[in-house]
Amino acid sequence: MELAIALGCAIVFAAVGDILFSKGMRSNGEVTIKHIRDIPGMIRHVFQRPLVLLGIVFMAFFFFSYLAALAYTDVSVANPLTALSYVLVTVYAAFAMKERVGLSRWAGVTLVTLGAIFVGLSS
Amino acid sequence: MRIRQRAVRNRLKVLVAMSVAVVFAAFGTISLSRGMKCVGESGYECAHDAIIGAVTHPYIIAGVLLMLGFLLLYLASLSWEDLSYVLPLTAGEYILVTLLAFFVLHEPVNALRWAGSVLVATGIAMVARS
Repeated sequence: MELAIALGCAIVFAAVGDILFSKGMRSNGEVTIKHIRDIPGMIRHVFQRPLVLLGIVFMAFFFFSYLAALAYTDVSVANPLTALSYVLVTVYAAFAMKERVGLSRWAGVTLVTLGAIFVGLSS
Repeated sequence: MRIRQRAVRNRLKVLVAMSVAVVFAAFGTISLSRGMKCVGESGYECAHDAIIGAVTHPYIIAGVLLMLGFLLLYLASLSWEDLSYVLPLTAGEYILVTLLAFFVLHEPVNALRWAGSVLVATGIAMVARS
């Protein structure tokens, strides 16, 4: 039960974090990184965007939930299951953000889901 | 011709950087897993002690440092190439973690779990490419 809660939280937190990153980074223009020297500037830029900061908070939540899950189960179970966050992000992108999601991406999402079911059944 | 050569060299550079990054991430995950298994088995009375135990555990510190190494190489790769080229390369991490879990941590990985890990990795490569 603790495992299900920890893993469920990890997956949802990772998905929310990714969605916030995407919304935050697109809210005011593109970031261009041409050289490794541009990264400090980018980091400064990133920290001025509230949605991105919130995304970082969710990623921290994800990390702690994932650590908790690792205390309860094998890493060969927990690691593939975290990939379910890709499924949540894609569904959200398609239906809530109305992004165009192509056929091969849906196929990929289906494979990830199938794989997660296999891994879940194996434990 | 010159531009093309540079593009090929860029992709090679990213390929090398991401191979190292994936190895860092996989060993980081394995290290975190081993650390958390110890913390889980220590039987801490309260959550506070468990958290202190976790953040001071050498395997967990090593895991976090390896993850930081991954993140730096990943960010550098993103500055050299498009996300649609870089992100599918991270799918290899899912296979490598399962391999290491089996050979290093001696976890019971049966055929179903192998198949699941391969499906997940293939799926991520497809999601990321499109």
